[in-house]
Amino acid sequence: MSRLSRYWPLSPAIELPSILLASIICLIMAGVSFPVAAQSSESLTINQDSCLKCHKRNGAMFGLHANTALAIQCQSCHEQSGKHPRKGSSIRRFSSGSMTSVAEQTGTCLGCHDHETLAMSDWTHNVHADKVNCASCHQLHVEYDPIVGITAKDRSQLCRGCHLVK
Amino acid sequence: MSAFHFDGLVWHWPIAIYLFLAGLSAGAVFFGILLKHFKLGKKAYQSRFIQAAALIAPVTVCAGLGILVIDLTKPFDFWKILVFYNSTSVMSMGVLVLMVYQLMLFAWIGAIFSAPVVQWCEGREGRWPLLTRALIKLQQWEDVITGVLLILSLSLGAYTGFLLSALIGFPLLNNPVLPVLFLVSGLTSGAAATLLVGVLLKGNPNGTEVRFIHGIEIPMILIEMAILFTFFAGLILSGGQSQVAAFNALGEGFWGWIFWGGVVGLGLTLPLAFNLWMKVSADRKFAYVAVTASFSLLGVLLLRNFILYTGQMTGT
Amino acid sequence: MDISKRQFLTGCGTLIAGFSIYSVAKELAESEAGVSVDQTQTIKYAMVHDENLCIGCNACEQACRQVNHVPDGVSRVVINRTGPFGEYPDQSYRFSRKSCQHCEDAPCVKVCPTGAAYIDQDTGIVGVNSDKCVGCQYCIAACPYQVRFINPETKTADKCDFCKETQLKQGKEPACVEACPTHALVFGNIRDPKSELVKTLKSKPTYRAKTDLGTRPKLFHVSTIDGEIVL
Repeated sequence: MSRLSRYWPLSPAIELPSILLASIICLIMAGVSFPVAAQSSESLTINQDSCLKCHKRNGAMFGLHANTALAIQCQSCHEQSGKHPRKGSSIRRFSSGSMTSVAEQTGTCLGCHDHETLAMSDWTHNVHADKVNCASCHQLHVEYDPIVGITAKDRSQLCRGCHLVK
Repeated sequence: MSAFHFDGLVWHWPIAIYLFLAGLSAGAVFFGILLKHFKLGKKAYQSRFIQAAALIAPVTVCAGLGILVIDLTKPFDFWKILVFYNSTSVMSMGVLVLMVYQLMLFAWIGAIFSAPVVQWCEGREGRWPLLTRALIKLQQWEDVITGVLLILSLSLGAYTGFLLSALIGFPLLNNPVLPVLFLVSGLTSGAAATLLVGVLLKGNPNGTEVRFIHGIEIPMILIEMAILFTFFAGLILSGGQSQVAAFNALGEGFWGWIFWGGVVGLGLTLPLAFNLWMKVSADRKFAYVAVTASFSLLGVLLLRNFILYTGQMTGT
Repeated sequence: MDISKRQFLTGCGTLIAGFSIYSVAKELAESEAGVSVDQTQTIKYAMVHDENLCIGCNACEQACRQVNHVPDGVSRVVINRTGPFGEYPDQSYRFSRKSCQHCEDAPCVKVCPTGAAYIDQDTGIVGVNSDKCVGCQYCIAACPYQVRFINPETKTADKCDFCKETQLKQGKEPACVEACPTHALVFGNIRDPKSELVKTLKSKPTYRAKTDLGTRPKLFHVSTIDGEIVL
């Protein structure tokens, strides 16, 4: 049994605001391993995606993973929209509060990001593995994932956000 | 892991040079005293080799202490070591020994060279009467001074080893044989330096002094070899980290070469062979004496560095 | 004259031998007496690091750096990480705390030539008197736990002092203990049976590093359950 699973029951005690902060920062860790365009698809230009008709207005949906060089679409990670934005859609969401299971979330990221490469960039990837969603620490829809240049102190505080025992 | 930079390394080569110089000074004094007592007597001051010892001993001990002070992170605070003492600290006790040793060393030099100086002063119608009186006083006390200095020189030689053997975290250093090894090799280096400077000062390379010192040197090299063997055999038989430390030091690599080639080859075997050769051949020449002494000195210097660095390579 | 010299030398030798035996014996007697004094001392601080609770976040090191003004490049406390153990995705690491063990029989205190390294009589904490330290680095070489370093600003030996000069003076726990998010660090008085420290020590199996050297350290570790079994 892994170390983390022993403490997992503690996690409901986590405060939501700290998770949000964590998720903002968390989306960047994977950025170190930048998997570059494997596909050379013609029509995968994110700018022409129908999703952006709404999401462009709602907030910044460009940034890291919107890079055209990656040649991925929104659907590559979030799956087909289905009923979205109506209730009961099966769309894949990346956050701690998401209906999407952690394993599915991390599985999506690991589709491109190799876990060994991630382990080399930071040891914490190994222990969180498929047990914590990547968005807890990383952000993908911003220009730079804030966790990449995080100070040692902020990093410790980030750990504290989830691991704090009252 | 490079030979001169590795994790856990605290003391660098300046300490090895300090240990070398302190041991050398002690050795020079030791042989100076023996020469005067057994061979030369009252006319000792005329001997080039006694002059050499009286020159080497103070110069090396002062140079060694200078290096030690410069190596402190706060060199200008060195006086605190002289003011505060700690009876459980080998270094503190060593400083005490060093201070008294230096005092006695200068007193001894004053005593053995008192005759010509007093003669010279009196020849100039009582010039510097104070100096004359002090030297005569030293001359009267020469036996006491010599006795104390002999004990102090042996203490100083052993202290260089105790300084390192007090480090309990390093099995190669924390070894009861180390002080004996450093004492004997320190005496060897003192003898070698006395011979080298003696012949450089145009001392007779075939004189009684050289024969006397060489006579002691042969058994001393054999003893040193036996001590080195005991040192490492003891470590290997202790097992655990002691064994690891011994194999790390003696095995392949930079320090292994230094040990087998430098310490054992150049520093012990060659001088032993030369000494034995000189014993059977009719007379000693300048080159023989100088080269033998130089190899001995080099060997001891390498031994100090070898022990200091390899000692810190393996912790408990 | 020769006879008098020989007699003198013999006398000197006997005197020195006698004196050294006397001083060693005296020291032994004192250290034995010291053990009995120890029992009556009311405060003796110690610490437990629970390797199972530690998550390797380094909050302890950062809190220490801030509170004790430890310059960059050196540290009073380090969490050493070994691993990973196991196969992905079920991997774990082992974290062990490296900091001053506050030995009862401290090698650094024994070797310090000026007495700059000392054991505080009231608390049992091993401290450094910066004013007395000349920077000979004998203590750094003597410490079997290799926790001492030269502070690049003061040029003197430095190490963990359980926040004796900072947090403890304000009646608080050491900075690392306060900062630890998982309560992996427990600090307290080993002489107080009601302290959390003593309760922890009595409820969990602990080990201390290199006790065979006779240092009697006061930093206890709860050994990690994860990790490889090494022979």
